Amino acid sequence: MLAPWIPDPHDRSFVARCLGDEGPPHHRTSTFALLSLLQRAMDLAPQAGAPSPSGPTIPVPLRVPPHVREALDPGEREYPIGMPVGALSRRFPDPVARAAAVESLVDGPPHHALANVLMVAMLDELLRRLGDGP
Amino acid sequence: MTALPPSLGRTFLLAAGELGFFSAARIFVRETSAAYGPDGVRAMREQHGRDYSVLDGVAARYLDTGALPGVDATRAAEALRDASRVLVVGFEADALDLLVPLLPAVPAGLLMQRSLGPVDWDRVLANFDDRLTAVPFDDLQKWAGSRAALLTFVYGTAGSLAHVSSEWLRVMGPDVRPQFRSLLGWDLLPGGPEVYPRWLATADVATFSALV
Repeated sequence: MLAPWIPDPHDRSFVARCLGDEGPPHHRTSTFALLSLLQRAMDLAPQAGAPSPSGPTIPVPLRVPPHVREALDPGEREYPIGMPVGALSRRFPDPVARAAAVESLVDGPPHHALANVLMVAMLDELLRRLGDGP
Repeated sequence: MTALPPSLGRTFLLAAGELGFFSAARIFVRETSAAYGPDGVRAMREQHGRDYSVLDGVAARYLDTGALPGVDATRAAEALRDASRVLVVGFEADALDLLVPLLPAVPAGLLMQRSLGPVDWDRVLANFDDRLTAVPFDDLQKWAGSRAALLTFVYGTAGSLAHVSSEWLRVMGPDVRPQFRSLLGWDLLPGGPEVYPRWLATADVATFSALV
């Protein structure tokens, strides 16, 4: 499920752990249920097949304090998945509203933010297959 | 019963503080065997095994097999090969002596946190020729990153529980876990100690992203 967006297996394991092993149990189960439904919807949509994400994304920061963030290697300050913003940009053309949506989606505990990001990624792909966007 | 030096237990604790339980146990079993033979190793188990479960476990394996339990760093090195850096929680001299040279391109740090008592960190780190950086506890998260790894030593598992040093529990908060890509446990004493693992803590094996 994660491979199209996170090709590296180590990176994929990291995100999978954050989604499936971290955070409260009810959240993990909810994430799995919602991602499974989105996967099913993608499978049934036109142009079925492996997603090939290529649009613009925004980074998802590691949840560390600001002074720690500055100390980290610039290449390691984000999780190894970016959030696609193509569908969000079309749905929220107003930059203020779009920025608020983006900020809310990538904020919060890592398990929460990463679940949001993956759902947005799958929705972005699903909407593309349904004819919304390039 | 073989008469052993009365200070042996206290000496072992001092050595374990700076070498790690497993590494100190290997030395004490080897030297006790050399000086007193297998009966001396049995006497050491009898007198100190309940207090020092890893010493007891190493001695038991020695008495069973005639050899000290080995240390193989290849699987840990393989698991850490792609890491950008590794922060070691807990200390085992024998293990790190082998592991650090296998990872020349991976910066390694040692968290300066020991629950066993005062440690002369300069003396500990001097053995690694700057290949191991001292990391104060306050700087723990500065070693985080999307390709960073945490490593600790495991002294056997029992069902879903792993015997670890208590430092690991200090680190394994829900805030830190998602800040490191890998949470590696290196089991130095598969099968674990035969006696209650006094001085050790338990962690669910699921808290590791990998156990080697």
